[in-house]
Formats: sequence, structure tokens, C-alpha cells
Amino acid sequence: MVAKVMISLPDDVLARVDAEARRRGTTRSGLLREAALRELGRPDVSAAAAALARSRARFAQAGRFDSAVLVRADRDSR
Amino acid sequence: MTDVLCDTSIVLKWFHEDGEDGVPPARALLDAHRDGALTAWILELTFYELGNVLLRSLGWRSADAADQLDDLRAICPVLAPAPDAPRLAAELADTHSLTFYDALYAAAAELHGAALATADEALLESGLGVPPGTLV
Repeated sequence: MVAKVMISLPDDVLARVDAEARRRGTTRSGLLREAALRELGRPDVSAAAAALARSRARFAQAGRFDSAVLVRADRDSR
Repeated sequence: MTDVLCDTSIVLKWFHEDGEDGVPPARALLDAHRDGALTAWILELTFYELGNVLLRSLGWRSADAADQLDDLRAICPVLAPAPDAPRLAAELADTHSLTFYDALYAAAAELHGAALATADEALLESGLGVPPGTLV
């Protein structure tokens, strides 16, 4: 589901938003969505830290390998 | 603020150490993201590649792989490639003799105005990606 919202921006900010959206080949909504995700992706520091700790614990027993080699082999095998 | 798109070879170094080259700069990049000095992005493609590595290369149980993919989503925001990214990826794949997967990372980064951090030799040799140590 996608909600439509109305927000207020100064003209000069909106002009910059539109120029950057054009440069990236996206839309005003697309650019603002990514900006929101960028902000929302960072603030929950404790959740990210917990996820990182769980990840490192899982990989502690994963054995010896170099990730670049595994990823390359996977990409070339597809 | 700098935007950095991280491919799967970098993401894995955030978690795994044994036998890895370049762990400190990869993790410094993630630390910089946490501290707000830059924004590290991944692609949805990263989940597919990581899932493949976990299940096929490392033989993880499906539940563990799924948990790992969930945790990755909590660590790093996901960049939606621009609509023109597949077209640019096709051009880059052809020009640089890359797989489309490699080229999609490069295209998504370029169209977003982001650097592409990678440990992958093909992307580094093409000049489309850079090692994380050059960014932090």
C-alpha cells in the first residue's frame, strides 16, 4: 500500500529536489522516499547493533573463506 | 554526505573474519554509516546473492539463512535502482565484460551519485568499484 501525503517545502528546496531527481533518473516521490529511508535506516542504532552482533555470532563458526571469492563464484555460476 | 553502495563481498566482511582480506576497511565503512558520516546502501540483489552464498556455498540451514537476511535488513537501508539502471547495466556489462549482476551494482551506484564499494576483482579492475579503504 502506498499513501499519498502533502508536505510543505520552500521553493528553492523543491527546485533542488526536482533537479536531483532528474539527474538520478527518478521522480520527486522516488527521491524523497529514498531520503526518508536514509534517515529511517540510521536512527535505530540499537536494533542495528543487535542485528550486527547476531550476524557475527552466526558467522563465527562459518569456517575459513574469503567473501570476494565466494561471491565471484556465485555470480559466475548463474 | 557521501552515499556508498556496498556489494555482497563487502557486506560479508562486516560479519565474517576467518580468511578474509580487507576486513578493517569494510567494517570502518559500516562504522561510518552508523556514526552518520556516510550512508551505506545495499541492493535487493544483495539479499539474493547472500542467500545463495549461505545456502549453496556455506550449506547453512534455511532458518539460519533467513534470520541472517532479516538481520541484514536491520543494518543497512536498501537502495531502489533508478528506472534506467537496467539499461545502463546492460551497457556497462557489455563494455567491461561483466556479469549483469556486477554491472547492476555499478549502474545503480552511478545513477544514485554513490560510490560503489567492493572487494570483487572484476569490479575493481573495471574501475567501476573502489575498495572501501579509499572511502573511509
